[in-house]
Amino acid sequence: MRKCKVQDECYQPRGIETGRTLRHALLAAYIPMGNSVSRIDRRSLVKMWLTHRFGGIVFPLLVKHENRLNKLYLRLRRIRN
Amino acid sequence: MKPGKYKQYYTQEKLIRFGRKLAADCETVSFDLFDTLFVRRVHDPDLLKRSVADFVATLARKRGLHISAGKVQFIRDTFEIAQRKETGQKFDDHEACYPVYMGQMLAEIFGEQVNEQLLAKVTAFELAVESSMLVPRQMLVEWLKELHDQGKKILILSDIYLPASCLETLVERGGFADSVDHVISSADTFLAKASGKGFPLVQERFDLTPEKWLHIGDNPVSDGLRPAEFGLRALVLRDGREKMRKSIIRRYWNYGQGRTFFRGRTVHQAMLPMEGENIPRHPLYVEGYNFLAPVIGTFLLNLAEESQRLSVEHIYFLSREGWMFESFWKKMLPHLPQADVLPSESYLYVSRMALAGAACAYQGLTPDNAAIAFLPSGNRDFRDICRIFKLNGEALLPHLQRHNLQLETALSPQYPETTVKNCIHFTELLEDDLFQAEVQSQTRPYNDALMQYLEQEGMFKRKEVAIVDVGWLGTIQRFLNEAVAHRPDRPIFHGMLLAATRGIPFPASTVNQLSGLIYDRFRFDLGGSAILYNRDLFEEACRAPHPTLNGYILTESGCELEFRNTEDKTAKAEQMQDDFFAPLQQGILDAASRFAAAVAVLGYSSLDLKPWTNHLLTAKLAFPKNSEVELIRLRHHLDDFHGTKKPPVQTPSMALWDRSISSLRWKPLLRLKYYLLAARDRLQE
Repeated sequence: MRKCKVQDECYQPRGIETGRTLRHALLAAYIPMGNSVSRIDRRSLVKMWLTHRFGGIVFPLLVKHENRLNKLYLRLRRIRN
Repeated sequence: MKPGKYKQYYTQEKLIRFGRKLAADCETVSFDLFDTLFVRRVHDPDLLKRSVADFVATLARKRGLHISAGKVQFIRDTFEIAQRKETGQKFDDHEACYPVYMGQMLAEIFGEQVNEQLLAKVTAFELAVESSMLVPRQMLVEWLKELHDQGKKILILSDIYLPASCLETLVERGGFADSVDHVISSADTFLAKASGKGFPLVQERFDLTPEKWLHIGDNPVSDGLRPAEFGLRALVLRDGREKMRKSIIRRYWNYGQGRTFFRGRTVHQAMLPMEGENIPRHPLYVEGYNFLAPVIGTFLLNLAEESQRLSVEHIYFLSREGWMFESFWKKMLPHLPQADVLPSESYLYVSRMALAGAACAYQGLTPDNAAIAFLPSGNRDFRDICRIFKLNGEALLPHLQRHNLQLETALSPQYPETTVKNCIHFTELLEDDLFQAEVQSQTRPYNDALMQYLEQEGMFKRKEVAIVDVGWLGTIQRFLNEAVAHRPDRPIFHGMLLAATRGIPFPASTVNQLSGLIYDRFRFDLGGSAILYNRDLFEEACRAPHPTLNGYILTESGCELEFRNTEDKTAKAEQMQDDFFAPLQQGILDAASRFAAAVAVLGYSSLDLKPWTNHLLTAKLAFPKNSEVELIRLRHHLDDFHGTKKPPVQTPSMALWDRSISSLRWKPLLRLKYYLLAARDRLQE
């Protein structure tokens, strides 16, 4: 049998991936699952799915360009104010 | 790179590649400790303090002092802030020293009862919690060892409130203490890297040359700018993926503050293996770790809470599924702050077959017990009753014949030859005093042997005990209760099952209680009821690697246990199933301590984890993937109660987990159909 890691490369527990949880959360919208997953939970699950899926690309860029992004943020805040 | 400069790298690989070139010219290499050589499973190191506060509050309660964990934390913070203010007046760094302010905190809380051992105990617990949350960063630690082997002087410099002696303990537990020459903490001297004063101190102490000294860390100021100002070469690691990992758990933690669904998910994230722990494993190991371990962990956490609430004196884990529960419990215990006040535990060798006879010794054969015997389809007639309750059929034959019955008369409702008349005769037989006297006489020796065994196990020295089993009807507890009911010194039984299906009414009383912690039919719990999809999975996953118990034998020295024969075909099939599930059991046990550490640090109760447990059960058992069914489906399951007969009309099992892979693959709404039917059954109950 092919071996696999307990935690996958997206920092998810294998077999309980966030995408799968999301599918069941959507199912729970129509079938009560006992301590049902609510609308707020489902929105949070979508955000976490995106984080797990694309975080490996986004976070290294955020760290590498942190100074530039901070300057941009401060500039935008000054404009807003 | 010239001395007096620092460079930032965004991956470990690039840092180490460049670091190797720099280190060739250096005599000394120093590392930062936290977030460089170690990473934490959780995002916030202050979360660990709550667990220590719980521990101190538990110690105080044991000594008759009532103080909440929140108050303990407040007192700790007060003394720490005061010390930092004091050191800030003399030094540039506002550092604190753990033994000093913790000693003050303990003196404040315990008053005259404080002593050196108390501080040592609390410090040991804090270090244990820290160790449980720290994971060595595999690549950097391997590079550290390589540098040490090359003859470089290896130092660890850390700005933290823990003194160097504590950091050395953490490094030792990390497994690389042999490769480190010295550990220096700012808590000992109040001179830290942050102000830059730490480096001259280290240089003077070890007579180092700044030009031949390389420093590695994660903080651009403490580990980059300050060493560069002192003339060192410095490399700063700013790992984007580590930031992602921390961000993930921080977000789950934040969601968990408001939404209970995410609390269990946060625990799950914190218990995952990292770095060198996360190696490729057998797929069954992964299922044991990610699915069964959180469910069993939540069950045992609930057991700990209930035991405290009911003031249970001792926990008996019943064989054979209790083996996994006991093993998991023992791994959990060192991490729980309330471990000191939890009851003691032991493993009790029992089985339905071993207890059935003993249960009849004083009350005889009851209709309920006879009904339980006829539940398996392989049990048909009085011969099966004799097998289960260890009765001599030939000696009882005259009593049967008096009621127009024979040993082979079909009595099970699952067989078409069973008639209403015979059932009435059987009921009359059970009301016959002479028959019951003979049954009691035959089974008395089994009861005597059981009493001897229970006395050896200290059962009768305790007033209230917890009886822990996987489920499902509570038959073992029923028989155990009936066997000891005649004794005035019998304890109160608090039965705690993983799941209570209650197919046969349980004779609950003030001295004999039963509840299902993950699922109980008496509570409407659609999520928890998903456990009913595949009960055998839990039995096989939790079963001990020893054969089932057949009975107890009285000997001159006391009582001996008689186990089932291990040479027959059934035993070999069971061994094959055990070998098949060995990686799954290993996964469960490896997850135990990490689960407990995560729960202790995050401060969640079993109620907080229930929604996530329900979700795991529903997702994995009610809506499994085809690959999961193929992987986890049992190869063999033994039921020692089951006879060898087969009813003529046997409907093949139509449970979801017994369906063929092709029907699971090609019928997309099959799982949904089963789930709706199960929901209907729960509502009808």
